[in-house]
Amino acid sequence: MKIIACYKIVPEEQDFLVDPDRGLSYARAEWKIGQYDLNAVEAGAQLAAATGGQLLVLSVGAAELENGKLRKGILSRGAEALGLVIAPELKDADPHQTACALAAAIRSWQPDCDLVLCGEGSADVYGQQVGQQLGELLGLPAFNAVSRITPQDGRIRIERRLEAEAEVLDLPLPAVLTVTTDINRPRIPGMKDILNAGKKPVAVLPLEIKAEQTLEVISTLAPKPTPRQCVLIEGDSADKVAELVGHLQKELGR
Amino acid sequence: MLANIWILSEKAENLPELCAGARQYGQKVSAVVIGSAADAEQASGAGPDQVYYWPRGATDLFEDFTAPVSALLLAEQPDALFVRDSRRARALAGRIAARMGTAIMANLESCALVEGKLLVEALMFGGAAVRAQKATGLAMLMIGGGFFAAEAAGGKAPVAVQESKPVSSGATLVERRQVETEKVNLGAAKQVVGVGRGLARQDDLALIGDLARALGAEIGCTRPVAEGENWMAKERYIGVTGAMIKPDVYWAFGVSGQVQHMVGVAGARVIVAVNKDKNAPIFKQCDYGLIGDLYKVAPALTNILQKS
Ligand SMILES: Cc1cc2nc3c(=O)[nH]c(=O)nc-3n(C[C@H](O)[C@H](O)[C@H](O)COP(=O)(O)OP(=O)(O)OC[C@H]3O[C@@H](n4cnc5c(N)ncnc54)[C@H](O)[C@@H]3O)c2cc1C
Ligand SMILES: Cc1cc2nc3c(=O)[nH]c(=O)nc-3n(C[C@H](O)[C@H](O)[C@H](O)COP(=O)(O)OP(=O)(O)OC[C@H]3O[C@@H](n4cnc5c(N)ncnc54)[C@H](O)[C@@H]3O)c2cc1C
Repeated sequence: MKIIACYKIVPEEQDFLVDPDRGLSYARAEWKIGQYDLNAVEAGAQLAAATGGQLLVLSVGAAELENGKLRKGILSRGAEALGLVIAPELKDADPHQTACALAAAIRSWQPDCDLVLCGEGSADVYGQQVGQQLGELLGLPAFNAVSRITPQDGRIRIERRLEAEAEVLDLPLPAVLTVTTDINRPRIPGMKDILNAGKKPVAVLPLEIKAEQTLEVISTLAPKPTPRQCVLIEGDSADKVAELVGHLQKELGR
Repeated sequence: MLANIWILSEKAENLPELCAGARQYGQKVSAVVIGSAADAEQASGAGPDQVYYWPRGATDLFEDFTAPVSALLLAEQPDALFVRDSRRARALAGRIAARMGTAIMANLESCALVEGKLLVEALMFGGAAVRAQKATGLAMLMIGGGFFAAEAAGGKAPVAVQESKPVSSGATLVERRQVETEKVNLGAAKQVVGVGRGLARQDDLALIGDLARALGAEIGCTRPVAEGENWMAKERYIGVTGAMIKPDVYWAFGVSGQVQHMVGVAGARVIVAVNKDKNAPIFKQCDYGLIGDLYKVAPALTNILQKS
């Protein structure tokens, strides 16, 4: 089975700088791979191993995708090759544009792939829709909330975890699936995996992305802060705990 | 006001909330029902002006109604589609959005009508940012439970039964079964004790249970405690993708204070944090912080409360 797992890189939110007008800057932020995208990559690696198949990884975005450490990071998780679409327009891509870019990339790079995997939601927008939009654009069956994937002769069986129901479906291939965050525990790559990752092929796809922006962004600001008192007590002896209780009794007027 | 807003929910029981919300911005409200005749009947009384009803057979997949619903959307051209959040509804809405050439706005903070367009504020980066945005075409909004309050509705809207059929994507149903879920209402609790990964073992939850009983508090947790560790039901995790709570006091034990979690307790009147790392980010976001070992603090606190 030839599998593509899609992942997105995002700036580390703990590195954001906030100015007094709630303006945000990511300029100093480290970039990272979305936490829940790793579940898609791991699911792909396990399926590739089980079927004697091949896992590829794919991301679309702006210049931050040039980052060599992140490329090695993703390739150290069981994938054989990486495909990238790097375009300045994709810096502000909305979920629809993202899905259009991914669809174009898959059509040109791996038109014969059997399965596309996405994570539950990206670490920035968390729109939880790119997989579904991608499936529709490619004209393939697409399902979210997939908690188990079992390959069968030319088809796959999936289990979905919905709010109060589990659903088992049989699907023809190719298909697009969005996996849950607890479908697996993503591996922690070893030193050897990371060294090997540096030797794996990276294809930067020469694609023009034509999708129009469908969401007009008016502003992106830090949330209004909730003022907190930040009274700190150091130590965990019974006296210190009693001191804490004293503060609370005063605070709650009891 | 917008001329026409559509509402869609997997469960008809959630339509009154959506309908009351849509009424704030739209002159006409039309409900999409994919389900049984009883669902259509319930929708008809939920307050819309019109119900479009697609009967769904026992083995029909909800997601396979993408084509017929999209076709009617294209014909009727409403200004907005409000979708009540659920996994199936998200799957269907994502596919519809691709056909309509738009993106869904999710994780909403607020929604307002500004110069004839819906201006939507949504949380991003796990709550580290709030983005204000407008759709250039059809505005699709994913609406969480409780975002709008239901209002009493009178009358019955006409139900137009649709002839168009679902189009199978090739997937076939093998089995459907109910799974146990835990009914907790963290949102209504006056006191909540939240547990993070600072807890070393599932068995140690007993310590927190004792404390919660002494406080008369509900127990919640961070997402990794519910999801990676599976120590508690998913219904109990607090944060941007879980429960958003507003207790009088939130007690955080062994919680580091990542934004994705803290957004969920921003509405708490008082936040108390117990963490052994004095550099934990939560100490900048609490009212009272105790730098110490939760394994000492929780029993000591229980002890004091039981005595008083
Ligand atoms: C710094 C920064 C600023 C941005 N500014 C804006 C802005 O102003 N306006 C705006 O609309 N958008 C902006 N974006 C882009 C936007 O965040 C996303 O690219 C787009 O909205 C994707 O949808 P989603 O995050 O809802 O994905 P989801 O639907 O939540 O993602 C689900 C899954 O889809 C896959 N996936 C998602 N994105 C990609 C990708 N790029 N490549 C490969 N696989 C992917 C992953 O498997 C992921 O787990 C910005 C992004 C960054 C990093
Ligand atoms: C898209 C996305 C959405 C997310 N949504 C959510 C969400 O809705 N809710 C959520 O909670 N998380 C969410 N997360 C995860 C979030 O980013 C954090 O990983 C998580 O909140 C951290 O949980 P924690 O504080 O329990 O664990 P950690 O960050 O590991 O913190 C454990 C803390 O315990 C302390 N500790 C250890 N031992 C002791 C002891 N004996 N006594 C006292 N303190 C001790 C440590 O000092 C540490 O600070 C999301 C992540 C992503 C990417």
